Amino acid sequence: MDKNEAQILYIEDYPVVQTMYVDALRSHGFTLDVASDGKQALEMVHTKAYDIILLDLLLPQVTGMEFLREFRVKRYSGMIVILSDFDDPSTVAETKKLGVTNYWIKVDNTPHLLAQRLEALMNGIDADTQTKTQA
Amino acid sequence: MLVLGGVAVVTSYTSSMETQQYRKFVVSLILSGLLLNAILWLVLRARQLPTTAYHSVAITQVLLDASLAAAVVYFQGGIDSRATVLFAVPILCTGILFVPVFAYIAAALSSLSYVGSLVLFQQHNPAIYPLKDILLPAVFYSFVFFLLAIIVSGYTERNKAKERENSYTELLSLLRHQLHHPSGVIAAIVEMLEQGESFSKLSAKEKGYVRQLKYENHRIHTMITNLLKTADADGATMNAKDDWTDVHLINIITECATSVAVAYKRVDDLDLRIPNEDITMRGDPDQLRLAFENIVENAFKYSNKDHKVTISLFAKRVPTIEIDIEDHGQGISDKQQREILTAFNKVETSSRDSYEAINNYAMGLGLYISKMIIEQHGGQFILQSKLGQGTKVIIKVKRDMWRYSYGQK
Repeated sequence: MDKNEAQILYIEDYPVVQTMYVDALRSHGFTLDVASDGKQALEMVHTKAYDIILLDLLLPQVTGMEFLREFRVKRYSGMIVILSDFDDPSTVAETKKLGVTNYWIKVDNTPHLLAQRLEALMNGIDADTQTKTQA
Repeated sequence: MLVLGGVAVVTSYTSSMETQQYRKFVVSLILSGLLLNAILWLVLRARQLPTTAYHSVAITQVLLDASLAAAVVYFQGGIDSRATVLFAVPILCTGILFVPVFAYIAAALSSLSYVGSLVLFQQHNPAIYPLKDILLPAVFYSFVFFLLAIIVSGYTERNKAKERENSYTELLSLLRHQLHHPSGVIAAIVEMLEQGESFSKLSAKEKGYVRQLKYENHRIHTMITNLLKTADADGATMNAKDDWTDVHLINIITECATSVAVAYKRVDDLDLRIPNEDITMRGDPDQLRLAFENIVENAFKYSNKDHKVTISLFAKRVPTIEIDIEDHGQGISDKQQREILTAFNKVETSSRDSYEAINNYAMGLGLYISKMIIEQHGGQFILQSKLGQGTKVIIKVKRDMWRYSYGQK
């Protein structure tokens, strides 16, 4: 997958964080659409096919979990990456059950690091994805 | 509950009733009872009532159900065993109250009203039943009611424990999230600064500040992780006693109080009344520091400049050490106090309003964490507050008696 052509949807409500990640990702050559809450994101995924969805969990209106439940992941062929501060195993397990491919903790994935990791993910060399395909 | 009510209605219809009038009476009695029950529960659900109101509404309901059943038995000629199913309703209802002891209260009430209504019926119609005939059903059904109560309360107890465990896990998850969120944002900001175009123009000293910021943020993150990593679902092991050391309370309190007062630029408002001796207790110094810092910060945050914040330590009454932190600020309302000390049990992460809820809870989180830490150390946390007058937090912990009696080891 080429990073210039990949369709990415980034969902994050906190303005400071949103601006930083969007700036960093765009500076690395990614093109992306942005949603600020789960409801807006649901509308967007139903009108456009995305290759990668970057999703925060604690969102207003419709939370990340609710988004995953309402968005029919099974019919979606792309990847869903969670970017959240929640790090407890039960939350991670629940999202995986709902079809999430990668779960990344925000503090370990600062904007530029995330961009690099995303590139690796597209080239199919991210460790997290490999374990998923094995399983 | 509605299903049971339905069963009761059907039972009353099929049981031996003398006239059409009685039948109508019984059915309308039960239906109005069910309607009242439904209204009570709707009111209960719609308003977040305090525990006492919740219980009194529940007790009213149980009383209502029991008396309703008694009325039915009395008016329809009670010995018919099918009518006793009505008495089971209040007992089973207690299952949804999450208060196991209510099942026994309901059983006692049911037995009492059942026997009472039987006796009453017999007194009025001595020709139909001799007194000895009602003895056996009275004893038998009382026994059945208590058996039912045992089953219901056992089930409730199990549910309650499960709910407690779930809410604790949820709270921990929220706590971790709330604490990790700022350090995630800071890490991102630092990285953006470092990768930015103007970073190279900074002096060596300024670059050093950014590096220091990154390091301190990493430290905070590690500290939070360490603080919470031992916490598990039952909460009992949150504080690993193996790590406990001698905690020099005077040092910790002085440090906490001073650093907070400096941060709020109100050093003159700090009134520190502590004895001039080394007072120690066994515990985790990092956690105790966090507990005191939260309380002191709350005192400064919610009171205005030129209003004293008094911190006193009393250690005369061996072996208890009492630490009072008092401010003359805005105070905390009764509702907020309840929220701080108990309402965390009711956090619903899946609900749609969770976003606002989490932010509100985060406000009281500091005091809640302090309370947990003090209690984990076998201490007492007492919150006294009046709206508009100020807040006083009283902490009572146990003194390290070994050190007190034998001095420095």
